[in-house]
Amino acid sequence: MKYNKLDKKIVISWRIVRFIWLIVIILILGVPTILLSQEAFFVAVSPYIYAVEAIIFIYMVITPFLYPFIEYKQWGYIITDDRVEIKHGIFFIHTTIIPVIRIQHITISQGPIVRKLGLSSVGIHTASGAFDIEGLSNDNARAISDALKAMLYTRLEEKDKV
Amino acid sequence: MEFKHKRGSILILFNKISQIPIIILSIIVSIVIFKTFDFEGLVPTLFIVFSPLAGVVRYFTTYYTLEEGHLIVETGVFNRKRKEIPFRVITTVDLSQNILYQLFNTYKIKIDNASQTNDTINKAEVELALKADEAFMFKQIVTQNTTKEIVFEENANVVKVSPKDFIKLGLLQSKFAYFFIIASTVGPLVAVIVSLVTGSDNIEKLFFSILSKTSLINIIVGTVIFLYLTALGWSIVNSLYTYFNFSISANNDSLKIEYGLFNKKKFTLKKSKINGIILKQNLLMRLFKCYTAEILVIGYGDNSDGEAHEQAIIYPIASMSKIKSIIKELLPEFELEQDTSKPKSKSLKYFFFNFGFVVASMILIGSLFTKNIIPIAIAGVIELFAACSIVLQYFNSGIMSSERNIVISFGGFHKNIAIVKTASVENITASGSILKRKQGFVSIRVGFVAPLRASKITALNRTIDEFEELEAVISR
Repeated sequence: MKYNKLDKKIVISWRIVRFIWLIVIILILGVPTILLSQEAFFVAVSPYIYAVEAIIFIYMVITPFLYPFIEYKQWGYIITDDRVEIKHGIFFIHTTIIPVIRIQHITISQGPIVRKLGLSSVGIHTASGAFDIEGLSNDNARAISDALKAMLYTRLEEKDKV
Repeated sequence: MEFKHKRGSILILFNKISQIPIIILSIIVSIVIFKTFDFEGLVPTLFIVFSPLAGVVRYFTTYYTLEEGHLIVETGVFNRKRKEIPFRVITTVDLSQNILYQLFNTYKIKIDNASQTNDTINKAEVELALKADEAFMFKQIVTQNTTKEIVFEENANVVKVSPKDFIKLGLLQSKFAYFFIIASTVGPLVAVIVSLVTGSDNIEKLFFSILSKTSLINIIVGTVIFLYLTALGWSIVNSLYTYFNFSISANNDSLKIEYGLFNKKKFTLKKSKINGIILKQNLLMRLFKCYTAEILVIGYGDNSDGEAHEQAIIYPIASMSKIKSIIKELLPEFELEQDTSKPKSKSLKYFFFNFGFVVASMILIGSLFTKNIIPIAIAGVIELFAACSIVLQYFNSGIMSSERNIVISFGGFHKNIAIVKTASVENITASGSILKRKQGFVSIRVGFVAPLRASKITALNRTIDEFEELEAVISR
């Protein structure tokens, strides 16, 4: 069965989040480096520190361009009458299967960035954990949530009849 | 029985009463031995004595009502809350008595349901104290046995555990916790004894005088042996005391577990609410081919009494064949139908992609740069332990799925075999790198209805076919 893809705008959201992290890391590493750069103990080991910081910086600069692209390619979900299947990951792929009848409740949520992009996440909650389908258009998220609720009630009614 | 708008007994405020004598004793010791009175030492006692203050407010503002099919809990001072718990979602209703409760012929009632969250993982959903008669009636109503108490006829399956088994459990169970508690207590105790004997704090002199007579290695080995033997003794006494007179009886739909010397406990668990059984085996138990059997059910095996974590034991220690026969007798629905399948030999390399092993390897490589034999030897031992753990994880990994149960075997030095009701499985996840997936392997994580601490188990590096088989089983 073919996986449904997320809305392409989610790539923009992932990129923004990774750029925010890049700024945070620059601040965490950069400020102490500038403050300590004149200290004798720092000067002695500075080549190693600069080398490590350079590697982290290059990695953090590349990831906003590369990882969201890979992540989007890997992300997919399938919803059938009896189960929800979610596949995601970058280098490590996780495939989760949740039988519809085991769903406890469903939530729709939006963070500030995805809200600006007109996207939502559907949270599927079970007693042992929650799973999100993120990067769905608002209409699609509502439709999926309604469909899952309808399927859950139908399955529960069928179970009660048995 | 009408049970409307009641608070229950005020004894519920004294759950932590057992801690007070220990603190009072330590204050007396500090006064008698050190001839000083430390006001700071009073703080924990005052805290424990007055900690029920919040509880007092809660007690006087919380009311319980039993209505048709519902337990209603109303609580709060300014922000009143009303919680309705349908009887059918309640998993366990347990009665217990500590010494104080026994004096007043009162029982503590602990009620749990399946709606556990991270905040309530180790707490009971509802706790109240009632006089014995009222407590038994309350339990009958909540467990929907309004006509009579759950009857465990004389011919019901009863398994009694002999003290010998608990001594064996104390001998073979992990003693790390006991070891470290004793180690942290012995130091100050020795200082007290030395000051008592010599009249001053001559601990350093004593140490150097012992050191002049023997080597440091001997002192360390002697201390470790002493601590281990003390931990061993404590472990045995604790097992005997906690699980005194342990017995389990089963009828068609319920399981009754009773144990305890001073703190008597009685659990009645509906079989339909038991989601699984877990067999545990540490390294020492493996040498003697023994397992401990615990059940996975919300409300049994938590630490809501404010005491140390208790295991949800159904049998303390026995061989696999004996455990199988006990399961067959008490909970035949969890009978092991067939053995778990072993991992493919090709998957062994993936077990070594393990955080602990990678860190141990990095420590070993780093130690080689020191060119000093001691750090290299220590790093080598750590690496060896990590490698042994990995190999054991490979040998312990196993999975079996059927329409009735899913069995997953996992763990390294501590082996676990979880038998989970297929109907309790809520989600399954296959994880693996792109390369591992191409080779046909994934790690399978199973999430199921159980206390949160045990609600997810993982079978490492299994074949994708086994995942698909599992998927087919839970989708039926």
